[in-house]
Amino acid sequence: MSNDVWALAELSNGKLANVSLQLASKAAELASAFGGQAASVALGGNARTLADELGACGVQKVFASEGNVYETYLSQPHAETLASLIQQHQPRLVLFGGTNYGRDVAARVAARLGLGIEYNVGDVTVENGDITMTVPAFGGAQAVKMAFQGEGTFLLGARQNAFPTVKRGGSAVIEEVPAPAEPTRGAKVSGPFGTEGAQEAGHLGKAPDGHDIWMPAASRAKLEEAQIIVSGGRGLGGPQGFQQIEELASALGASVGASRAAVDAGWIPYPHQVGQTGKTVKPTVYIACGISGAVQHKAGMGTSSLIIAINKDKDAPIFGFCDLGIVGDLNVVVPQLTAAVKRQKGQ
Amino acid sequence: MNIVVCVKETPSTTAEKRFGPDMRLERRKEDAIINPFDEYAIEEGLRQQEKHGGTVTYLSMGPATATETLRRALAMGGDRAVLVTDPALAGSDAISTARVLAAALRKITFDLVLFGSAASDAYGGIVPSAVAEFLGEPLLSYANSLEIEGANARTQRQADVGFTVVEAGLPVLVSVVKAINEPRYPSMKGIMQSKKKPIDTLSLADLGLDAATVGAAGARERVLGAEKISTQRKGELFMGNDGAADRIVAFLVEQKVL
Repeated sequence: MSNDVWALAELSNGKLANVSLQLASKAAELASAFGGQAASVALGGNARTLADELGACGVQKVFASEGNVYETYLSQPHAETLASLIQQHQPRLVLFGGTNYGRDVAARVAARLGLGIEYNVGDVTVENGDITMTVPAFGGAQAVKMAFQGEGTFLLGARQNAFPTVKRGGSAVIEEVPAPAEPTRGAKVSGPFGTEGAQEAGHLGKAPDGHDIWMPAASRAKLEEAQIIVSGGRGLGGPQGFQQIEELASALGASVGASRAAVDAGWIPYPHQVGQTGKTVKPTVYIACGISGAVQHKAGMGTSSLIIAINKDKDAPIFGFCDLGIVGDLNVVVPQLTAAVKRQKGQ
Repeated sequence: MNIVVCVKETPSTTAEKRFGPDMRLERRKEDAIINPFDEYAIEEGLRQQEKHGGTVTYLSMGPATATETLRRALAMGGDRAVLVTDPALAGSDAISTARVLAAALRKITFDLVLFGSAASDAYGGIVPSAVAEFLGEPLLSYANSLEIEGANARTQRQADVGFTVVEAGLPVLVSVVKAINEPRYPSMKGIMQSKKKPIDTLSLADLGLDAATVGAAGARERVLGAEKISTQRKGELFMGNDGAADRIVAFLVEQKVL
C-alpha cells in the first residue's frame, strides 16, 4: 500500500470537466497529508493533452489512456483500466466525482476488487493517517462522520462541488497506459449527444404527460459549474413562467435551475433539477423564484455563497435560510429585476 | 421475456429519521415504503411485460417484514417476488447489497433487470453498476427511455444536456430515471390479486454466500458520529414589490457580484 492519492478525471467533449480539477486539487492536498504523491487518471480521446491543466492543480502524475473504446462504451473499459492500475500501484485513496460517470465507474471498481467505497462525501480530512469523511444526511440537516475499515485502497465519491479548485501551479508527468479491448458484452454508445427529437432549437421532446420539453438558451452552461443560478419553482404557475426566469438568467449570465415541483410538472427537463434528487450546486449567487425551500431542495443548494429568495408567502421555509428575501410577487419583481440588472450593466 | 425489478424498502420521505445507538438509521416498519425511484423501474417492468409478454419478478433484500412492501409492488402488477432476508445481512453496505442481489439474480433466469437509479435513504446510486460488475453484464444506466427489439435493448441515457443513445444485447441491466414514465397506482383488483401472488424468501445459505462478506461484518465503512448542521445567513427580509428589484441589484453590487 502506497500513500498516494488519485483522482479520476472526467472528460467532456475532449475537455476536462470542472470536477476533474476539483478532485485533482483535493487529491494533491490529501496526498501531502499522507506524505505520498497525487495523480489523476484520465481516460479518453486526448487524455495526454490534459496533463498541464491537471498538474496546475497539484498532481504530480497523470495516468493517461487514450482509445476510442472509452467513448464507445459506458464504464466497463474505464473500470477495467482503473482497476488494473489500482492493483499495480495500490494507492491509499481514489477520488471520484458525484456524477453519473463517477458512480458507474467507482461501483464497478469497488465490486471487482472488493474495495471500501463511500459516496456523497462533502468533506474529507486526514489526521495521523486516518481518513474522516463528512456525509450530509437527512436532507443536509445532519453531518455524519464516517471512516473506512478493512484493508486495501479506498474509493471516495464526492458530492458535486464539494471541493474547490486550487491552482498550485505545478506540472505533471504523463504515464501512458494502454487502452483495453472492447468488452464482449458492453453498453455501447450508438447515438449522437442530445440531438434526437431536439431538431428545433431548445426543444428537447415530450414529457411523459405530453408537454413539450424545452431548454432555455441561458441554461446550456452546466448547472453544477455555474457561478450564478436563477431557479424557478411551483410559484411560476406553468412552463411559460420559465421565460421570465430565462430572461433574468440571460441578463445575469446565469444558468437556469428548477425545483422538483417544476420538473415533475413537466415545465422544464430533469437535468435542471436542483436538490436531493437532482443536482447539488454551489454558485456564488442562487436566486430562488417561487420556490418554497423544502428540505430536499435545500440539500442541493444550501451551501451556495449567497441565497436570494423571491416568494409571495412570507412563511415559506426558504426565508429561514436566505441572505436576502423578497416577500413579493415574482411576476412583478422578476421582470423589473431583469430590467434593473441590464441598466446596471449598461445594456 | 423474464423481467426482474430490484426493489428497496426505504423509510417514507416524510418520516422522522434518526440514528439508533448502533449509529444505523432507525427503520420503523410503519414508515416503510417502496423506494420512490424504484416505482419507475416497476412501472417500466410492467410496461415491457405488456409489450413483450413474460413474467415480472420483484427482488429485494431486507428485513422479513419487507414482504409487506413487496406485496405493495405486486399490487401494481407482476407475478411473484423474492425476498433475500437473513439476520446476518443487517448493516450491509452498498457493495455487500450488490453482492447479495447478484447472487440472487444468478438463481433467477432473467433477460432484463431494472433498477431505480438511487434510493431515497442514502442516495449512493452505486448498487446497479456494482451488480452489473458482479454479474459481468452491461448496465444501461440513467435511462429515460427503453426500447427492446428482439435481443437488443436501446435506451436514451440522461445527460446534462439532452441524452446519449446507448444499447446492449440481452440479458441486460437497466437503471431508470424519473423521466422514463409515470408510475401507476395499484387498482382495487390489483390489491386483491396481490394477496395470492407468491413471495419466496432466500437466506444467505440458500445463496451460498459467506456471512463474513455481507452485513455489518463485511461493511467497509462505519459511522463515527453525527451532528446537526447550522448555517448563518444574513436573513434580510424586504416586504412588497415596490423597490424590490432595486434592493436586489444594490445587494448584488454590495456583494461585488454586479
